[in-house]
Amino acid sequence: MYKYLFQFTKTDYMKFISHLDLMSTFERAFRRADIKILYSQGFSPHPKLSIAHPLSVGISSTSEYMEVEIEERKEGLEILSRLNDVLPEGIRILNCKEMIEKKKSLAALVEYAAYDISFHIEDIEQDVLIKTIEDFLSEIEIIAIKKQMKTHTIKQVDIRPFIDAFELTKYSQGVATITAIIKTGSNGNLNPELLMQSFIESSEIKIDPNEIKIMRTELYFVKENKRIPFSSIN
Amino acid sequence: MSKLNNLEKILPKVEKPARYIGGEINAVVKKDAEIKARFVFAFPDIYEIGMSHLGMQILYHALNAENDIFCERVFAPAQDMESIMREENIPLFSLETKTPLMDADMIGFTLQYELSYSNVINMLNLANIPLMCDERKEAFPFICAGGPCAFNPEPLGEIIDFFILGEGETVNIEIMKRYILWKETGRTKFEFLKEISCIQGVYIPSLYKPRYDEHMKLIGMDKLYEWAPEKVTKKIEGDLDAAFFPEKFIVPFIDIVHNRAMVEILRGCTRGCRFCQAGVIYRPVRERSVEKIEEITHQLIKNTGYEEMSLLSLSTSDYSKIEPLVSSLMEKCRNENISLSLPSLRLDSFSFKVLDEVQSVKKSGLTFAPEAGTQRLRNVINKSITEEDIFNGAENAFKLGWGTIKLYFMIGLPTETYDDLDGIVNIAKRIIDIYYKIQDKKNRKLKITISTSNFVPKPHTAFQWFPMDDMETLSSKHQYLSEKFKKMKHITFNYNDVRTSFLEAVLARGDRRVNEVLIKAWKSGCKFDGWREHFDFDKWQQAFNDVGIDPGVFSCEKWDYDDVLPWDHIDVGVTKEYLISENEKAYEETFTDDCRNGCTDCGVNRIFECK
Ligand code: SF4
Repeated sequence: MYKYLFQFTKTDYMKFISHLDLMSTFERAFRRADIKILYSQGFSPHPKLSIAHPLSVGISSTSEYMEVEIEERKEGLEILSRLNDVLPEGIRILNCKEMIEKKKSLAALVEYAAYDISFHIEDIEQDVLIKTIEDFLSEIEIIAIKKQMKTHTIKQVDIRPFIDAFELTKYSQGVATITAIIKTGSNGNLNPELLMQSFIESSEIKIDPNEIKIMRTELYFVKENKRIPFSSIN
Repeated sequence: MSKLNNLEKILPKVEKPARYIGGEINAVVKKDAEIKARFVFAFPDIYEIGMSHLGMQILYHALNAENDIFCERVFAPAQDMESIMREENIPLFSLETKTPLMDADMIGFTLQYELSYSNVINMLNLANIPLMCDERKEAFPFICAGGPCAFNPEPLGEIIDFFILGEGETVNIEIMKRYILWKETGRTKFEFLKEISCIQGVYIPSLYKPRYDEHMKLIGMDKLYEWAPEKVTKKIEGDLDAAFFPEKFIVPFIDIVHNRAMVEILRGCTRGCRFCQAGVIYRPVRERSVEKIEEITHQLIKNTGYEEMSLLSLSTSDYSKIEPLVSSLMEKCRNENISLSLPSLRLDSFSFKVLDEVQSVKKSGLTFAPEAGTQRLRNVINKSITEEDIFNGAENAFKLGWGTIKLYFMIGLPTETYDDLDGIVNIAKRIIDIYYKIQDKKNRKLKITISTSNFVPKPHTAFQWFPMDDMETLSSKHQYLSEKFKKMKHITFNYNDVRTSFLEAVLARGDRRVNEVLIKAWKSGCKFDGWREHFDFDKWQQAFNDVGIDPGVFSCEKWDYDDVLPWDHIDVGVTKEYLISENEKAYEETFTDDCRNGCTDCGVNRIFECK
């Protein structure tokens, strides 16, 4: 058994593929690439393939991670190119390396995620936008309304502690990009759409929520109180 | 990302946006400069249903194998998507290149079931294409249709420019080649239709005019042009090994109804069930060779990455070399770690040996289709399964530890009485008894599903003259069975909506006057009639009223042998004389043997070769 770490993109139309559908897309891609992956034992075996943190439908990513157990040892580059030959447009393997050390599962490592959030705005000076963002962050509490899917109830949560960074990184021709780094994973999770909803509600800037484009750019784990990008995992 | 710039904006708002994005593995995209004609394969139901249809995979790849032809796909958008498309003025578009359908050269609908007709109309409208042939001037694409329902083309005869009767693998390409030549010479649409009218399998309704008597009863079909063929003969492929079969399937991102690779091993069926339309229109039977099936299986597994492989035919067990085939495929699938499913397998000893190894069967259980509850009625419909077969099958299955059985029956079959309904109940009782004898008290998990459908007479069958039960009669029969089964343990009883079946019968046996009704019904909001939550029978009745047609004439009236049938000008190969003799034999409760054991003179060999 050999465990590999993959970094991949999920862009263009592929952002509309759900997490589960992405898993079966990969499972079939491995079969097309003639790379045998391992399956769990039992009545309905499932592939030993896990994605670090699910991406909501509609959000793209330049940097997703998954770990896969493979029967035969192969060069990372060979796996990468064989998979890229058979993957749909919008999903590209950027990196594939064997993981030697025994580690926690990727999912358990995730602590933060970075997003680029872009949207159209009109007639607002850059300074005003920056000020609005600062005001938003300076609040001690940011109460967001969270719909609980399972119980159909509404819950109020303070999302301020989940925001690590939220700043304007690009603004030109009416398109603003905010880069956000927010808590992600089982130790506290903020979804970027909820973050934007709170931002729109608290500021007076008109942004059409349907026009917001969100792109995940990195996942982080924490080591010695430092945020470390997944891309540096060996 | 696409020529429709607002598509990306609306997709986040709809359920399962992946239905509309295309880009699946093995989907084909060609550049404008490379192609001479653009065909859109249109399935008048949602993506998950259309993508499960093997015919679509075959015809799509067959057309795309031609360099200068580009075949794209479109499915009926679900309600939520349709509303947004209408709001945002997004015309119906192809999945491959997101091109509005209006820009295609030809749009081909597949008619798999009558209840999808209103969706055909709705899709044309969503594409901003006028509904009636005579409203579509030179600039609009040709609209054609094929599939089993095309064998009575008349109910859509004013909407569809031409029909393709039979199997489309080669004839579609021939039509497109002629289209390319025609397009280059810049002649009228009528001239194109005239040109293809001589191709076997092509039916052009506008070349014929129905004649009615003073009671609006159909009494003839008049040719409007000297050169129009007297009768249109279906087109079928000869040798299946030579026929096109794709080496790759489009692999959807989302789960669909039949999410697996499929190989068709056999086309047609020789058993001659008298209600069955497929058994007639796909005659004569043709087999694909074991070698060819193995080769296709190999390619499909390699090119799709599917985790499941399935064999397809009307009756798997009738494949002459089924044992060697299944053994070889099982080994192949085991090596590749994929599962093999074998639908419509008859339950003889061989099947049990095999089925015990096939995982999927253990989960979903066994199925039998006796179709009728007594031997008498099974003789009427010419269904050869006996009670012994069922009980032996059940016993074997229970011994292997299975506890799930599904039985299919039809309600409202010709000559049916309440004794025949009691027969269904008795079969269920016997199966329970058998189970109790085999299983000890502790692990009893028996589940029997009795699934019934309503008999609907279909064109070109021995029962084409026979009426369906009226809705009250059918409902009382359902009621009767429900009461009986309510008192029994282990049984789930399912039946179909009677009004849906009534409409299905009208559309199946309707003549050209139905076009107007369809348009009226669609205008009042009818679509997705096969979906319970959308079906609105009152609107249909209103539409029939408005047009002044009694729908009962098509569904619940017995027709005579010398009546002109709306499909009399279509030749399926099997002769009317044969169908009449089969219908007579039904009343005599006489069985007609499987014609593999000796030709029974159905007439198909006048035109095609029987092997
Ligand atoms: S012609 Fe004879 S052998 Fe051929 S399909 Fe008809 S009955 Fe069967």
